[in-house]
Amino acid sequence: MKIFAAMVCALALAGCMTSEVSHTPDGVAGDGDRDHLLTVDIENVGWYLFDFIPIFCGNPDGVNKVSSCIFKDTLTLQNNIDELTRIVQREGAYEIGSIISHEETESVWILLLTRHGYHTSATLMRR
Amino acid sequence: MTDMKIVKMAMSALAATLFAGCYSVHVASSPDFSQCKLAAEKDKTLVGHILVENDGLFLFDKIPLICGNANTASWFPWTFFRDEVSMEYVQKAIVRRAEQRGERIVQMNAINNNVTLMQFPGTQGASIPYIICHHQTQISALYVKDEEEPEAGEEAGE
Repeated sequence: MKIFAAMVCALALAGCMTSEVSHTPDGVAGDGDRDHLLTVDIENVGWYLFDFIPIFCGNPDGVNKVSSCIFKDTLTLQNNIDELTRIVQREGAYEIGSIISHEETESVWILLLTRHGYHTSATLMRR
Repeated sequence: MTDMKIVKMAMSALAATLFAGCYSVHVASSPDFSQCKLAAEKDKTLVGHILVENDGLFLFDKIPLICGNANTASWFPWTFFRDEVSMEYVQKAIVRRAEQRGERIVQMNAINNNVTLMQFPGTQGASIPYIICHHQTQISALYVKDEEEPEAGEEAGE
């Protein structure tokens, strides 16, 4: 029973959406004559049963809050781009250097339990 | 080898065959980067982001066994003995969408993941490399469009 509870907790915590923004230190030129370079990494992780039934997925409304959605598939590229949009507006970025996305997959017993993660990284310029 | 072990291996091989090849297209459209421009395409508007991926199982790392079907018009999700994990096939969906919508593709990036030590239940610790290999290709790209020119009336008013 304890093991089962621990597994549920581990899975619930594992399904989460995070975003990280790194700023270049003051005085360091970002790219050419731009003032400030930001690097953004957005990750949304979820656990699936048999690769298609979502169990715990990251909550797009609770980024960086260890918040999960249960039985709701929130692993979409759109959610990552929406979060990037929020960061662009929050940071007041005026230029995008690049946007790259990829997916990572891990599984236990082939497809009994599958972990998917959507990553989107971007570079932004800010004055 | 016990009967149970053989059953386990057969079941996992069947599961791998059924689910290994998977072609998927993920699109995020209309990002609201109103105040933002792409550094390399300042006269263009960013209209979307796409991630396409395909994977498959290969015998001896070279012979395709089963791959996801990159032909989305086909109802059958897999192809047999045809390498559709190559970048040429995977990028088809990206190019097709751009052609249909009159958009340009920029910043196309590819990631290839190859696993040469496939672990099947019942064979832990006994996998021999390069017998059954799993290949995966992912390509992400951005779509841009020419900015709409202001109408003649607007220009004259200015």
